[in-house]
This record gives sequence, C-alpha cells and structure tokens, in this order.
Amino acid sequence: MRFGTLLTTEKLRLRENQVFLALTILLGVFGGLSAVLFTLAIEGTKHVLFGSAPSPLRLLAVPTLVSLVTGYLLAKFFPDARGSGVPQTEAAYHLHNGVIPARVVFGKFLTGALCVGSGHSMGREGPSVQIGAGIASVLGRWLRLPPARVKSLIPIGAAAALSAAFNTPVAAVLFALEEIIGDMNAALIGSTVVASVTAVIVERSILGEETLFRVPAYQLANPAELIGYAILGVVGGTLSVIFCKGLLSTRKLFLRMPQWTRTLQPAIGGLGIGIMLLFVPQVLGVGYEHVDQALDGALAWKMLLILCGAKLVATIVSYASGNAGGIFAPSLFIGAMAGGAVGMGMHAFAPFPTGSPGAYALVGMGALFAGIIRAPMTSVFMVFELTQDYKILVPLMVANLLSYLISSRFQRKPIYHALLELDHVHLPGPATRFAASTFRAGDFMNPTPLFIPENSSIDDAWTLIVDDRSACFLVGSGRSIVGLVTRQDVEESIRSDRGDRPIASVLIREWTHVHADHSLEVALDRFRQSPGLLPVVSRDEANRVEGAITLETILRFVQRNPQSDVASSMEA
Amino acid sequence: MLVFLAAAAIPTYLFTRQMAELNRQRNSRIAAYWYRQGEHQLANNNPEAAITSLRHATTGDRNSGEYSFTLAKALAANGHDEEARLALLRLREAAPDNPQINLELARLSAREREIPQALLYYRHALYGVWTGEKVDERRRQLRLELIHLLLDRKEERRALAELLALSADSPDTPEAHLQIAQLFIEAGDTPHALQNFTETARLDPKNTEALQGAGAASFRLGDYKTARRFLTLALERDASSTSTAQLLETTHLIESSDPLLPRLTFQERAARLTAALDQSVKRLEECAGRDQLAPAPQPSESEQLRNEALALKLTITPEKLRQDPELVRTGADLVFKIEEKATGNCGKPQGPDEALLLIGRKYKGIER
Repeated sequence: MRFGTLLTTEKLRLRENQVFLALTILLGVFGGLSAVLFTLAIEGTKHVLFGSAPSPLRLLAVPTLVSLVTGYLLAKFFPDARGSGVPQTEAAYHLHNGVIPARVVFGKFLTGALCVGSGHSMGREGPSVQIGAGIASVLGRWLRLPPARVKSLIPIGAAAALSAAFNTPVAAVLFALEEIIGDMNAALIGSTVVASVTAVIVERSILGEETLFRVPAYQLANPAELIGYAILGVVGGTLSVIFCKGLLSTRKLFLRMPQWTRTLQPAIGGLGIGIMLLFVPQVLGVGYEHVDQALDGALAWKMLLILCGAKLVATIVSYASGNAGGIFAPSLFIGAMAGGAVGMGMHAFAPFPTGSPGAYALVGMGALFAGIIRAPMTSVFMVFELTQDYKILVPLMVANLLSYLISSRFQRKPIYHALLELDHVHLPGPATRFAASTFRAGDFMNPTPLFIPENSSIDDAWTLIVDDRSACFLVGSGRSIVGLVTRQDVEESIRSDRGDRPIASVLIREWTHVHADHSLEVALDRFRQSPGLLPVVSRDEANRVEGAITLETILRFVQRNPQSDVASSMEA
Repeated sequence: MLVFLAAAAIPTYLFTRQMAELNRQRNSRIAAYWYRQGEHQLANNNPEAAITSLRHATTGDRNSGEYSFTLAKALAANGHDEEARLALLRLREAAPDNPQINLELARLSAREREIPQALLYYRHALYGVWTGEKVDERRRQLRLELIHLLLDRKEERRALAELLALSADSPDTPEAHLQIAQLFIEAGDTPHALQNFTETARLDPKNTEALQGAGAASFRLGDYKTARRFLTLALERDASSTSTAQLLETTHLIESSDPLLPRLTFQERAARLTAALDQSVKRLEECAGRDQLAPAPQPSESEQLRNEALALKLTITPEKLRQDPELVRTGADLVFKIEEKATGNCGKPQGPDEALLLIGRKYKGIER
C-alpha cells in the first residue's frame, strides 16, 4: 500500500514535470512570436509615421504628437508600461510572485511600438522581455499554476522573448539568469534553455537565418592591440557612468515635476527628440542599421563621435521623460560608435598593426553593455554569439571587465535597480537573496508601530509618546513615512520651551531602513547605524512602512527563540 | 488547456508569418525605390547622394547582392575604400567565383598598391564564372586591365606572361594585333611586337600605325632591310610623320655606310671603310676638342684612337682588302670603338655617326 502511494506520487511528479516541459515549449513559441510581432509592429509604425523620406516637419512633429498620445495612455491606463520593462520584470519576479497583469502586457506592446516607432531613441529588447515574461505570467495564472510555478515562468518567458528579439539564444539564457533571477546557478537553467531555443527556432522560421548585424571577420592584428581594447574598456566604462548618471539625474528631474505634468512629460521628451532628429536623424528609433555601418567601417570618426554623443543624449531624453522603450539597443549603439572611434584612433596612431574599426565597434558594443546593463557574462556571450569567433573572446573580456569595473566603481547601483528605486521599488540584493540565516527582518519587527502624524507639533508628539519607552519614533503614516524623531530630541525641545514648534523641526530625514526579507545579519547591522528604530519598508513602495525594529522587538524575539541566530548574533 | 494553447499557437504563428511577409514585401518595395534613386543619382554624377540612397536600399533588402554590389562600387568610386572592401569581401564570401566582385576587389587593391592581393583577385576574376553576353571580350578587357596595371608597376615579366595568354585568346583582327603589339613594345618584347605589327599590316595593309610599328620594331632588331620596307610604306601613307622619316633616313644611312655588308665590291667596301674612319675621327675631334688631342707627353685614349684611325686609313685600299680579309673587320671595329667612346663622352650621336654606332652594335649583337 505504502509502495503503491510512493509510485503514484512519483507518477504525479513525472507528469507535472512533463506538463511543465510542454508549457515551457509553448512559452518559447509565444515568447518568440510576441518578440517578432513587436519588432514588426515597431517597423510598421515607423513606416506609417515617417514614410520613406520624412520631411523636417514630420521629423519634428511625429515624436511630439505621438508622445502626447502615449503619455496619456501611459498615465491613465498603463503606468507600469513605462521604461524598459526589464526592471519591472525583475520586480515581478522578486516582489510580486511573478504576477504581471495582462493589461501591462498589452500596454507595453502598444505604447512600446508607438514610442520606438515614432522615433524615440529606445530599444525593443527590454519591452520584449517584459511582454514575454508577462505572457508567461498570464498563461501560468490562467492555467491555475501555484504561485511558485508562476514565478518560475517569468525568466522562461523573458529568455524566450529576448532570444527571438536579439537572435542570440545563449546570451538570452544568461541574461535571464544573470539579470532577472540574479543567480547563475538557478535551477531554472534547463527550462530557460528550452524556451530560448524554441523561441529562436520560431523567430528564424519566420524572419530567416539572417543575423541581426553584418558582423565583420574579427582579427587581432597584433598582441599589443590588447592595449587598444583596454583603452576601449576605459572609454566604455566612462561612457557607461556618464549615461547612467545622466539618465538617473534627468529622470529625477522629471519625477520632481508636479503630478499633473506626468501625462505631458513623454511629449516633452518627444519634442526634444524631434529637434534632435532635425540635426541627427540617425538617432531615430532602434538604429541598428547605423550599428551595421559602424561595424562596416562606413562611418568617419567625426560621425562616430557625433552619433555616440547624440544617441547618449537622445536615449536619456526619451527614457527619462517616461516613454516606453529599452536601453539595451541604445547601449549597443553607443558602444559601437565609441568602439569605432577608438578603432580609428588606434589605426591612425598606434605604432603597430591594428584590426579594422569594425572589430573595435563590435567589442565596444560588449563594453558598453557590460558597463550600463552590468551583465558581464551576457555581454561576453552576446558578442561572441554575434561573431561566432573564439579569437574575439580575450579582447572582449579585457574591454568588458574594465568597463564593468569602472562603471561599478562610480555608479554603485546597477541602472535597472537604480531606476526602480526612483519609483520607490527596492529589489533584494544578492546578500538578501542568498542569505543563509533562517530568520528575516519581518520575523522580529513590530508590525504595528506608533506613528507621529507629520503635521503634529512637538507638544502633540510628546503627548503621544510619553507612555512609550522607545528611544525613537516614526513620523508620517503607514502609507508614507517622512522621517524619524528621537525621544531625546523631543524631550529637549519641551524642556527648552519649544514645544509649539512643528515636529518637522526635530525630524531625522536621512534614515536607514530594511525590507522584511532582509536577513537578520543585515537587519542587526543596520540597526546599529539607526537612532534606535529601524523602519521595515515595502520593497514595492519604499515609503510604505510594514513595521519597525527596535531594541525591544529584538529582545522579545530572543526571548521567544533563545537558540536562534539572533541570540548568537546579539551575544557576538 | 495546454492542448488549447498549442492549438492557439498555430494561427498565431501563421498570422505572425503573414505579417512578416507583408513587412518583407514592403521593405523590398522601399529598397527598390531607393535603388532606383541611387542609380539615377549616380547617372547624374551625384555620388554622395547615391551612396546614401543605396545605403537605404541595402538596409531595406540586405539579401540583394545587386544592391550591395552597386553600393560597394559607388563607395569604391568615391574613395570610401575601406567600407567598399568590407562590403565586397562580404559579397565574395557568398560568391567567391563572381568575376565582378573579384574585379572590384582587384581594382581596390591595385589602387592601394597591394599588388600581390590585386593579382590574386584579378586571377580569380579572370578564371571566375562569367555569365551573360560577350564573355570572351569582357575577359580579354579584364586581362588588358591587368597588363596595364603590371606595366604601370614595372612588372614586365608578369605582364609578358599575361600578354602571351592574351595574344593566344585574342581575335584575329588588326585592332587586336595592333593593341597587343604596342603592349609587347611596352613590355620590352620586340620580336613578339614585330610579329603582331606584321600580322596587323597583313590584315590591314593600309594601317599606318602597324607599318610604322613594324618598321620601328625591325629597326630595333637590326633588320634594316625589313625596316626600310615598312617605313617606306608608312611614309607613303603618312608623309607628315617626321619620326618615321627620320628613322627611314637613319636606315638608309646604315644601309649605305655599313662596310661589312656582304656582296660589296672591294672598291665599295674600301670607300665605305675610309668614309667611316673619317667620320668617326671627325666625331672624336668634335667631341673632345682640338686642344685635348694636341701632342702631349702622355697621349690620351681618344688621341691614341684618332692616331690609330688615321694610320689605318692610309693603309686601306681595295687591293689591301683583297689580300687581307681581316682588315675590313679591324677597321670597322676601330670605327665602332671610336663611336662608342665619343658617345660615352658626348652623348647620343645623330645622322651618320648614329648609323655607324648602330652598325657596330648590330655586329656586336647589342640591340639598341
């Protein structure tokens, strides 16, 4: 009887795995189809809006007017469809159990095609990733899969879509593992490979075997040429930092504008792009045809530099103003132009034979990708897949590594995470995801902490806290924390007859926080830096308080769990 | 549910495929439009605009070899060598035997003085798979282009090899023979040049250029009798040619002053030898100047030659020549020695002295 039950369980598990494999293949098909359709939609939109030879008026008007429409759509109906789609997919995976609403998928497709097709300097890969992952999420929920299974479909759908959008199946798998999951050893590697391969088969059966770029034959003309690639790595890293800082600060500027301007912000970006198109029409849309020219050595060094700078500015304007589109393609574009320029410089000044500028453009694409996207493995394999040439690996790794190191040094947060944080979404870092401890901050927080209303006077605050023995208190509300105050500051203000002053006069505005899933080591470490209270905020909305950690809550937890890690940590 | 999803995938796939096909057709139409624009701009001598249009065409239809090749040619013609080379190399990967692609690559390499590479591409072009009309004539023109390149680069030996192949493949027309003859002259192969000039003259007896060429080639080979015949015919057809007249005059002089010619009477031979000695001494004196030849404690080489010539002249009579058959050879050798000496000191002679010098070289086996 017992043996029979075991057999049944085993059979069920086998059947479940088979069903999951079939679903994975179907997700590969749908992911691939969605990416191809998205690409075709962008091309169709571009053709309808610009025609074969657009007039200057059309170049100026199209991005502005279309952005008015997309601005309205994004503000009213699809707020989660703004931007790239990769960070949103990461947030869905890490914070929302893999839930991406169907509305977001539709909205991303529509607004992404309109934004990129109307000339915004943005890429199609990021939106494809979100659409692919969204389709996986929608289908998973429609099939009533358990939440853990739905979550695991996110990287599968993302890999499938990226594989078809960029025609590099291995790099797509790595991207899903490295960027979306954040773990190269993830158990989902098999499924992502299956989906990625299925998607690329679907894509090639429709669009043909042709590669995305006409890649030149790679040749390292002289071992000393590695110096040139190191220079390219430094240039790539520097440009990555400039791009990331520029994008984040411009996005902050737009976010600081009044709420009612949100609908119009994409049109402001559209107008900026329209003006740029009058002078540098090459920055229009994805721009892979110009990457091809750089790879061909078809662009003079002046043009390479102009396009490098113009694309960088145009992408910042397009993205920061809240349009829908990615930064994957622009980073490759900027990298190709910078690489081509460095290659030409090497060709002119190096005292040894050098490869073609096209070879440098190719490595430059990887270097910028490594610096901006911060997915070094993906960047190496992506260019390797494009060239299918082992000889490129060493120069590529030299340039990518340097670019990655420089970018990490001067822009600590990866761009996708930093962009999410601007929207008050905090993704768990590797330390949190891989923490060995059993207990999390959520286990020993007080879920109903006391709040002092933001508009209270110090006297009012004193009335509230007088019976509470805590050293520090939250100011604001559960939905929106504005800062902390210490009991000591409030007492001193009362003693010196300043009780009628607003609580804001003693407010601590810069405070550290944790999320509920942070490990106890992180929580205790941050508690030591706090004034006596450590807010536990939502990852999804960093102003929303989920609880608070005080010395009292920690001691209470230790009493309940004397053998816990907290106790040993406290002893330590 | 999975079955339903799988079933739904089929129409979705077919729909996407249809959309992709429509997109491809639209891109092809746009590419064709830009290609026509590019061709029109090329015809109107607006190369940069043409390049931009052709770029649009190749972006719209990346698989069209015709568009890419036209763009590559336009790029090469307007100095965008590196891009043109990359584009051509990419086209060559797909069609390594295409003569047009190899030819353009050869021209690019030649322009950049990469002669071995250019030769390689020219050969690939020559022996590639030619299609269309007038294949032989196009291949012949290509070989001619290669020969001109080699001659420009002073690669006469390689040029001669190609010329021999060209002469074997060329049609039997006066134009073809004349062209080959002139190229043989440039390559320094006078016998083959003469052969082709003669053939031209045979096919077209009124061809002045061929007659002049044959005359000059025969003259250069020392066949003055043949030279006279061709040069006379050439001058009859074009009396205004001073170079032909001059060459004919020199031929006459050579024929009338050569003391070693067979079947001359002893009187004639003695007279010619005496005249030659007089002429050479005169040349020596004019060249060196009287003062230098004046008696001195150590006589110079020129003075010794002059004295030797004057002494020999006194001994030459028809009778002496009959008794001593070697005397005419000794006298002639002295004349040639003096003329060589004077030429070395004073440069190329004219008129009778030139004739004597050429007679001497002919007998020494030195072609002029």
